[in-house]
Amino acid sequence: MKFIKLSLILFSTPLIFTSCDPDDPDPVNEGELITTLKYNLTPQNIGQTVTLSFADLDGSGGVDPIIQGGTLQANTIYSGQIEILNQAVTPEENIAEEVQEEDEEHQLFYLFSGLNASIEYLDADDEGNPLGLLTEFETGEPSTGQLTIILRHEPDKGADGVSEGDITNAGGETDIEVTFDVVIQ
Amino acid sequence: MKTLLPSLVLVLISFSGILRGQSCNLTIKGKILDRATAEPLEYANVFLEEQGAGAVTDSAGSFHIRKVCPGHIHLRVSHIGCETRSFYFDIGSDTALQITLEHHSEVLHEIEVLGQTEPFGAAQSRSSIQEAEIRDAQGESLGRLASRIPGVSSLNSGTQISKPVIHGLYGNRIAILQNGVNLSSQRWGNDHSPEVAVAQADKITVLKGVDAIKAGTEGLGGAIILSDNPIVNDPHLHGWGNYSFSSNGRQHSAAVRLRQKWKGLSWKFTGGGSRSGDRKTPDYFLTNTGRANFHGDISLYHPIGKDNDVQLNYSYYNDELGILRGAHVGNLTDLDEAIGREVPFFTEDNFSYEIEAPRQKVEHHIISLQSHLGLSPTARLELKSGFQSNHRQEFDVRRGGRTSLPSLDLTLIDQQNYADLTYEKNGYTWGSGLQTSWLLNTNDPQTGIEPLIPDYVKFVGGMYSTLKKQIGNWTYEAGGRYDYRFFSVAIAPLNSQDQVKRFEHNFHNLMGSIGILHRISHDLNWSINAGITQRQPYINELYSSGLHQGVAGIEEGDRDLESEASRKILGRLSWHTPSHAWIEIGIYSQWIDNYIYLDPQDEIRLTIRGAFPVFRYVQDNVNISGVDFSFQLPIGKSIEYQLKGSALKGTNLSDDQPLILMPQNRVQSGLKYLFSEHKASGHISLNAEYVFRQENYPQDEDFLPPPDGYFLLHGEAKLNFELWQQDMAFIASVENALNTTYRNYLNRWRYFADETGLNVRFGLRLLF
Repeated sequence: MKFIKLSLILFSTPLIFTSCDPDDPDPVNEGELITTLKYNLTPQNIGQTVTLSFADLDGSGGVDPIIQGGTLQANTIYSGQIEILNQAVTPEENIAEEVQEEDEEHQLFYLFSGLNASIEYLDADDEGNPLGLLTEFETGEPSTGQLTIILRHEPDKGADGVSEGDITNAGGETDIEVTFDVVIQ
Repeated sequence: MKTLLPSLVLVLISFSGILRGQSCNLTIKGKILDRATAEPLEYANVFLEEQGAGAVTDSAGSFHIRKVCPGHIHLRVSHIGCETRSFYFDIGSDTALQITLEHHSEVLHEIEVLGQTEPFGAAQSRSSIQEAEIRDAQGESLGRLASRIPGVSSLNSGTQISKPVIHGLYGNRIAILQNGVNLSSQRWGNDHSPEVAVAQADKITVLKGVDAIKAGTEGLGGAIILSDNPIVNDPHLHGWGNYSFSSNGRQHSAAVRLRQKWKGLSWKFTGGGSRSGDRKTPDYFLTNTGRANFHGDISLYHPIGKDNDVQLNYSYYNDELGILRGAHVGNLTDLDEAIGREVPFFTEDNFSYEIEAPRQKVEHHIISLQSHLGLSPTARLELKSGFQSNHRQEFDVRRGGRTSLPSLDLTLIDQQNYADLTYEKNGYTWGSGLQTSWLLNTNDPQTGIEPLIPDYVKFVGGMYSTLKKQIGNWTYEAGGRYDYRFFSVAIAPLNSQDQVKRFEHNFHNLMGSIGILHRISHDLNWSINAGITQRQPYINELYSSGLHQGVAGIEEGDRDLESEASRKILGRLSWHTPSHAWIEIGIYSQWIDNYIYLDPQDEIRLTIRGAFPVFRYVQDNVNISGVDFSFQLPIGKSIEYQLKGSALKGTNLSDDQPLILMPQNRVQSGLKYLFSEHKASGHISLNAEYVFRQENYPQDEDFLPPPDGYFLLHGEAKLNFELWQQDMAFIASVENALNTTYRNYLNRWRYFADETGLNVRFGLRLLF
């Protein structure tokens, strides 16, 4: 019977160690969060700078993102520059710098729908493949449509058409995909 | 069903125990029977290792060995198609033995149910995979191995990640017991394999019924029990060593088992591991599907007096595996592009053992202490205490050098206590028990990603009672259980200004079942089993929040979910003909009220990463009904034909739509040729498998319609032989022999890639 008593004591001890609530978890610092993309278009001759922007300051869910499209002049060449920010933290983080540092693993794509426009990459990674933070944006005749900007992580830059800006064979994971309403007049 | 190698069970009937002479004039006689049919087995070999004497059974299954010296002996028994095994005992007098041979393992376990000490219920449908089959299938996952049983299938993510599915239910609804304790892990994830090494188990039992009363209410869909054979009472070192190589993935796999009785202590060790690289479909490599796995298990067993014993066990499991890069997608656009492709993105032309992000890394420890106490000749108390720790890390391809930082980093610790009492009186067997468990789950905030499930503490207190009575050819049983569950949840703030959000939940769950088994004749029996179970919502169903990395979906839990309430009825008929043919049919129907599932919402959420479909955990009333069958027919003395299959249908009763991800109907057929020559035996088998297309699926709820049905051919050859006086076994097998290109509805990578093609495996085993 001594063994039985000993066993009962031994088996009931683990109950003592338990607690009823988890400790306060530390806040999660979303280091990779991207809240904002801005596409600044500056005409090479005369005219106004246009900024297309997408901002979702509280991340996924919650308040809806604020999307601002723009109106461009017809038959004009613009210098395009991308800003990527995390504005959920102070001071705000410049994500474009991270993209620039890892240029071989990233590429921006510009897709047009209903617009008479085209872009050309002005920057390249160390292997001479396009990156797309800096672009030349040329508008044609007046038209109305959408511009979609996609940032791909780990695309296959060597695949057919990818270095010309064709996303079809790029693969990889999408880090950013935003669509702007654009009017060319 | 590739191999149905029997094992041996030895029953000592009597020791007359009067004569204890020193001279070699003892006699061992006995009878060898087919355990399933109780028919005598002819031409079985019985051999006394120490004394070099032996005998062969006659047509009545009897053998006789004379002039046996007293002392310790190893008795070796072999028969056609059976793995040779030896038994150790001390002989001091003339001895009579009855040895039952598991000749048709599929038949056996159904009959074994008739045993009187079965704690999990007699009338329910249970099936098991025996030791030799587990050994032969070295390197297989639990999910794939268990799916050899009719009615069990597996939900896969590629080849390496596989979860068992019992009668259409999986994940949170299946209990897995190892070393007597409930495996505690992040089993809510469809891409989380159970953290168990099948090599450690001697037997895998699947309970399909509802009376897994001891397994608890979380086993609403059934339970899988990994158990060990009793530790033998043999002072010599015995065990086995296994090595195998698989061509697909170039997998090397090895395992070793040792056991011995040393003074008052019996010990057992199992250890092993495997390493594989990229698997291959008939046309291309599945880049980044390598795996590194190792495990160890040690048990110490010490009997105290005649009726008491204590056993200590420690198990370790470590797994690292790669996720097909092309199956990991960002948003809906990525998914659309990945789905349409002939060959997945990121496919490399060359084989590699590299495991890169996305990948998973899991480490699991279980320590358990158990003790059996004989309170009186008719009452036994079993005490168990288990401690587990589970650490899961998942790594994604990330920006800014964060790929080496896990995206998911969960640590779970768990403590369980069991006290189970069995008491027998007047033909009644009464079982009752108390169980408590405590679990703490924590997220490591270093991930820098909003956790998919929050930190929480879960406490469970449960009690149950079962009663069984046999009257003539009828066996009746009933059982009931109550579980109290408490959840305390703490949600981490997303920035330093926010507060920690805390929630609490209390659940009271009931379980009850009744069963009747009737043996109409020696060859024919039927049983019926009915029960109710309530399962509380699991943490992911209550609290999932945010983007499920890699699967392009936002998953949202619902804190107001109620417990699921299931009613299941299961009938089974089993018939052996005098000519050794055997047939078994099981039918079932399960109604689950408030069945929790992930429902695609109309909402598409726009984020800076693009658009994502939103899935929410919702509840509806559903029904799952189906049928499982097995048929076995001996043709002559050395050929066995086998046919088995299962079919089921899951319906959401609220809108009369089919349920998503239900297993396809399937049928398997096999021929096995068994041979036994001088000192060598074995088998050659050929199996054909046809899996039908899943025709019952919800329209517009899936990214792709179910893939077509497929036909696969598998083969296996096994040779047991003796070399340098050691028992050895050589196994060669071929999977997907026709190198068929196909996709499986229950594989979550089916959107992206084909299933694996031809695989040839060679294995060598040494028994000692």
